[in-house]
This record gives sequence, C-alpha cells and structure tokens, in this order.
Amino acid sequence: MGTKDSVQVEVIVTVSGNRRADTKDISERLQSRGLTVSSVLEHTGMIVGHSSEAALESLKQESGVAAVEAAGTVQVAPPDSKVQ
Amino acid sequence: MTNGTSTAVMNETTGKYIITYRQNEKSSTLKLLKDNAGIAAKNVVSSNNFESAAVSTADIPSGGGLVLEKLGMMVVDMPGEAAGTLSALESSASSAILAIEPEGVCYPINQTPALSLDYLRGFRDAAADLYDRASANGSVAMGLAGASFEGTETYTWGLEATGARTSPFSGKGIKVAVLDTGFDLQHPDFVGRSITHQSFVQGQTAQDGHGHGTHCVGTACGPRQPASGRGYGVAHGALIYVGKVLPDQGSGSDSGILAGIEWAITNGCHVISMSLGAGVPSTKTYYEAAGQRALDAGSLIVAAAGNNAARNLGNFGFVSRPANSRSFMAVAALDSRLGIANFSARDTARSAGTAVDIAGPGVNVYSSYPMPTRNHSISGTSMATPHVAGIAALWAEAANVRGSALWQRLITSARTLNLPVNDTGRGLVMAPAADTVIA
Repeated sequence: MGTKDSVQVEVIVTVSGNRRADTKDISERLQSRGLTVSSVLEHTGMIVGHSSEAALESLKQESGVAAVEAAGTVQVAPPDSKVQ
Repeated sequence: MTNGTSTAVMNETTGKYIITYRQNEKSSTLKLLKDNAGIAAKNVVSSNNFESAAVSTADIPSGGGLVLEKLGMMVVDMPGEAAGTLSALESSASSAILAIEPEGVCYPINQTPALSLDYLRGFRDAAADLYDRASANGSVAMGLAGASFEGTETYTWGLEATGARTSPFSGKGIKVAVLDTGFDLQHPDFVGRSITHQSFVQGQTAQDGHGHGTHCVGTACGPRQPASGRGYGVAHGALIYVGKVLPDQGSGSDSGILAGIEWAITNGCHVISMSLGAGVPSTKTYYEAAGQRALDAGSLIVAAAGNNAARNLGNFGFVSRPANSRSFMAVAALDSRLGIANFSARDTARSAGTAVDIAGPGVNVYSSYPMPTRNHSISGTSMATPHVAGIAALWAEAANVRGSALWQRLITSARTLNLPVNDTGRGLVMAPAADTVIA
C-alpha cells in the first residue's frame, strides 16, 4: 500500500484547444479514470479536481487532454513588507 | 554652412495632401472637400472601383482625389491654401478629419542620397550634448535623460509619468478585474462605483483582510478627486470586478486563480490584473493556455514580473510564474526617475514567455488601503501591474479594441527608455492622449 495510491494531489487538467467544446464530457470520462472533479471551467477549457498520484498517468491518456499538472500555489508578501 | 541638400531631402513632398478621416465620416469629409476646397464629387475616385483596389498615383484626377476605402484616407490634389483652410476648420476632437498632412516620399534604403558631413557633425554634437547632460545628473542608467516625476498634492507621480492624468479617457464602460486578496468593500473613496465581487478562497469573503488587493484596485480603478488626499486611480471610470483568489495570509492555489480568471472572462472583463506570483521560474501549461484563451475571448491578462531581484547585490532575479507565460503581459517596476526598481525582476532566462513586456510606476506608489488606514504607499511590481491594467482600460475605451489588439496598443504606444529590454520590455506604459490618432 504505497503512498502513491493514497495521497491525493490537486490536479489541473488542460483540455486541448480543438476539444474545448467537449470539456464537460471529458470531465465525466476523467472521473471514471480516478479524478474527483471539483470544478469545470468551460470558458478556459480546464478541469480542476483531485486524484491519487498513481492515477495521474491514466488521466493523461484520455482523448482531448492536453496536459495534466499538479496545482501550484502563489503568494503575496506580508502586509508590513515595504516591497509587495 | 548649410545642410541644404539633406534638409530638402528630409522634407521632400509631392504637393498633394493625405487626409485621414474618422471611420464612418467619409461623406462628411467629401462634403468638406467640396465646400472648402472646391473638389467636386465627380473628381473623386475610390479604391473600390479598381480591380483588387489596384490604384496608383496616376489614377488621381487632376484637382481631385482618391479615396482609399479600407484605410479610411484620401489622397487629394489641392493647393496649400485649401489644405490650410480645412485644417483650421476641422481641428476639434469631434471633427470628421483626424489629420491633413503633406504627402511625403520614400526611397529604397540603400539608395538614400548620401548624408552630408554637416548633417553627421550635427548628429554627433547632439549625441554628445545628451551624454553630457545625462552624466551630469549622476546616473548613467536613467531611463530618460533628466526625467523625474513628482507627485503633487493632487496627483500621484505615476499618473503624471504615464500621461494618465491628462488623458481624456477614464475606462468608462470597461470592465477591469483585479484578482488578489480582495478589496475593502466599504472604502469611502469608492462610494458610488460599480463593484462586483466574488471570493474563490474557501471560508473567506471578498473583503480584503491583507491590504494588497485594496491597494491594487485603487491604482487600477481608484478616484482622481477623492474626498481627502491626492488622486491615485488610472481608470477612474471603469467597472470594477474584485476576485479574491488569495487568502488574507499565506498562499493561494492555482485552481482558485484559474477559477477567478474563468469568472472574469465569463463576466466579460476586458482587463484582468494579477499582482501575484509563485516565486518560481517554472511554467505551467494551464497558465499558458488560460492566458491565450483569455486573449482570444477578449480579456487581456496583465501580471507582475516579480520582486525577486536585489540589483544592488548583483542579483537580477527572474520573471516568475504566471507572468512568465507568453500570453500574460509581464510588468516591471520603475521609480519616479524612470530607473528600474532595485527589486524588479529581469528576464534572466530569456526564453519564450519569460520576457518582461512593459514597465510601469512601481516605487512609492500611493493608493487606497483598508480602513481605517485609508491610504498607503508601497512598492512592488504589484504596483506597476495595476498601472498597466488601468491604462489598458483607457485604451480599450479610446480605441475600442480587445484582447491581442489591446496588447498591441499598449506595446506600440509605450515610451522607449534607455534601459535594457530584459528589464523594461518595450518601455514605459503610456495612456492614450487627447490628440492620438486612434483609427
């Protein structure tokens, strides 16, 4: 029982430019490949969700998927910083 | 000793005039030509009447004109006095004619008449003078020799330096989204403004508990004549969209930021200002795709290049994600002498996407802040970014362009600085002026 199966990562799936009309359908197919979908961004053509690390490879195989990436983070400096 | 030959070459004209008229004002212009220059309609031909618009100078009737329909211009054979009369008549901001200019000539570059020694001597002397003045000011790396902008009691230096203060445009009818820590929705400087807000941070409303977001909204869209203090907002007439994608402390997830971008596009926002970064040089396909899709949908995303440089220590930093995407306009920070800010990230990676595209005022920027503080001055590429976003809104209003066309307007109207392109991109962002020939 490796950590790869149990640790959930936040995932952002970019749908291919020519398949953006199918974003909703693709999100459903990704669910059966192990993606827990939290939101479908129809205008930007992206699907946000969680999956195990082990499932990431399978998600990439789905037709119409241009990229599967772990969600990163951004920050701002503390409020008392002179430079923000 | 004259530069006779060279001057004549540089001022060479054909005797005809080129009239640039406002779109949809062709008939008014033709009437003006008839009434004031005696040019009858039958003496004016149109490019539409020629196969594939293949016209030449020879097709212009003597004492008449040629309409170039797609360009919205006319080439007219009229005497100087008539041109002068028309110029005088049609000089208001609402006139049908945007410009009347003598038709010049061009030469193939390798056949230009030789420059005289006199001309070159004058050029050398002018360059030497510029050098003397620049080095007398003690700073070789100044953006523009002698440039120095002061804020006044009434306006910030940033509004002055970018020409925003004197621009007749306010961003009226333009939607500007600021994706950040939110906004102080009760700020007294924004009473009566249209503000749509949405939080993408779980457990928090769009109310700003940090300060950063309120400051950025203020620079992009704040007032020119607040009840107290100086004016500090660029697009003071824009419709404000506040997307809280960053929590009051700590970091925000890219999924929340993408949701904010999606929301801004869905709501038809013309400009999206993002003063945020991951602090890393890596890229993500999703940011590259989101930026391009936003552009194609008519939303220009403007992002901070990053504050990770410490130039006084020899560290030039790098353009951070997401600004390092090709499709995000990356913004550097300048000080009030138009020098590059010490912390402003340089494009050190120099690959596609990592370019700094443009620069804006980013040192000691006065703007709004959550109450009770009300106003505050801070520095950062975060402060330069909403200057560009606000000016983008002015251009969107002035030229009625969106997406990539708006990107083009900002770049081609930027003011070149005497600084490297990997620091400032195309230069200082400039607002549309009253006499700009828009289209």
